[in-house]
Amino acid sequence: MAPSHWRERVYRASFLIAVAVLTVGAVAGIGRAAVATRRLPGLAQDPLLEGHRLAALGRHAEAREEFLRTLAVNPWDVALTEDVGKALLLSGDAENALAVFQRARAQKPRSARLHAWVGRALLLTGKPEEAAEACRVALSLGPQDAGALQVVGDVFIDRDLYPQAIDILRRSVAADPTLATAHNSLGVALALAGRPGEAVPAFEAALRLDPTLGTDNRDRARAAARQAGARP
Amino acid sequence: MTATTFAVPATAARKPLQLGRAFVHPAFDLMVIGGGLSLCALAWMKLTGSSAPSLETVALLAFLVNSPHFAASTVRLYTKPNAFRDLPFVTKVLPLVMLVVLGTGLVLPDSIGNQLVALYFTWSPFHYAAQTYGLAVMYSYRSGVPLSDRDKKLIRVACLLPFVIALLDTRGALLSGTAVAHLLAFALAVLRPACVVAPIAIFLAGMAGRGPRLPVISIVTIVANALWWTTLRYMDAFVWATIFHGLQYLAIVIIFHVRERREPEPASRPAAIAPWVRPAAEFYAVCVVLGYLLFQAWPHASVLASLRFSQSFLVIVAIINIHHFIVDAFIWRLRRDPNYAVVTSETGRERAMTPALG
Repeated sequence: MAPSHWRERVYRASFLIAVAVLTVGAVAGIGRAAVATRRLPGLAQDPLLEGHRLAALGRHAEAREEFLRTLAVNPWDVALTEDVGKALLLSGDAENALAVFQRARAQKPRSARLHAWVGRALLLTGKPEEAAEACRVALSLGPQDAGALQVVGDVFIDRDLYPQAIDILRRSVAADPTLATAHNSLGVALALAGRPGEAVPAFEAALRLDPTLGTDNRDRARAAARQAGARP
Repeated sequence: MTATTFAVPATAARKPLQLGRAFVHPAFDLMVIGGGLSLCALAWMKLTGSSAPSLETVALLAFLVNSPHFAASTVRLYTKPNAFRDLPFVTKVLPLVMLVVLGTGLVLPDSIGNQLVALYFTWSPFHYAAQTYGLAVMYSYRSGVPLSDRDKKLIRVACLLPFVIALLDTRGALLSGTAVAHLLAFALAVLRPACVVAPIAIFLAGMAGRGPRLPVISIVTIVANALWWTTLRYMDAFVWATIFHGLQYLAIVIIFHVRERREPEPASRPAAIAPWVRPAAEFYAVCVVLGYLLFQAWPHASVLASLRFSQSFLVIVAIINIHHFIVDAFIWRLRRDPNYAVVTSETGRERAMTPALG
């Protein structure tokens, strides 16, 4: 058989193998997503998708592994690193979250928001003094940075400093009225400060901007306001 | 998409200033292929202070533009006339080679997977620069503007400057230290304005008769790519550049696909719109489906093989990009290629619409 004929046969075989692998991969992927999530793969462009799903199912150890392994492949994307830190924080792993936020901050040292996230993680790992310092740096770097102000506000909430939290979260909302999480945090701070009547509009604003936040906070604040005799 | 050289029609008229001979309509070519839309979007972002679109918007744009654009190079490869005969390795063997590399990256994410992602991040700005060069040169030839080797070198340098910026902007990733940081900062401070000044200088030199008289579409294409990488932060630039690059790419690839399948029309007869619609829609639909399968379905399959979804997602995205970059280098050749006929083809309608400024 001529070498060119052999080459043609090898080329043809490799093409058919590739098509088979691609087809099986696509069908298997759709099938796996359909079984695991009971729907077809969505349109999300999010490598943390599976981690969030596992966290929502309460499989936190697997979720943490999923989140942390992301950075082994792509340590250069600061936004992704920040998302990993937030996901870890939400799943209760403040130690790893702190390391991840510090890594992101090292890549982008002028980011007020990353200093604020480091502050929040420090607080949750039991280092209030260092957390306060990180928040101070965050506020000096981004006095009008809505994201940073919100995280610093959350730190004040965590430290039970509600008047300061309300003040800083109002600044956050003023800097970016479309930031749903800031409205939500403001509602939390107001509710915890014993002002549920004022918290209701904040929760409603958060819900309007991001319906996925859920109505629980608003409903609780409404009930508390009614009980206190205030009209929400 | 990249360009190589080819002969200029001898009868081409040399105009002092022209928008450029459009494929579809001057406004469409300027805004979509030339990047005019992206300049509007950049202006909007700067005016409103917003940088990155919401996750939902990114997901929708990825579904409608980004993913189909990556799939489009594959679809074009296999629908290009005589591709199996002319490009046997790229059509038949490259897919399996890429699958083997993908498998290696998935099994060894810490050593190979991360290098594939790094390669994709590094290659992308170069790919966009090469596409910009290809479009700029293509519109020049299409508009009857002859380019000498020196002209092409100048245009190439202007197009590649944003890539150099993107490469240097990975501060601390390759080298570290205060001296290096200062040096990089200085280089970036010089190169950023140079990215925008260079194409404008070429344009003005052409106007003064001391350089290539590039059509406006060519200049806008170069300026748009330069502004993506100089006015946005690196990852924001990545998001926006990919979206607008994808839009540009989809438009031009569909134009080529449709024209290759269209019967030549007599110049006196107005071109009909209807014959364009079906092949264009079919091509786009196939790209959307393939893009969905590659980007959305595939990463889920890796979980069945006990691989991490997050890592698989990132490595799969990287490998699809790298495959796209390689395939593009083959399918957009102009020399001794049917692409040449598409670039220089002209219908009666286009002639009537070709605008000339000044």
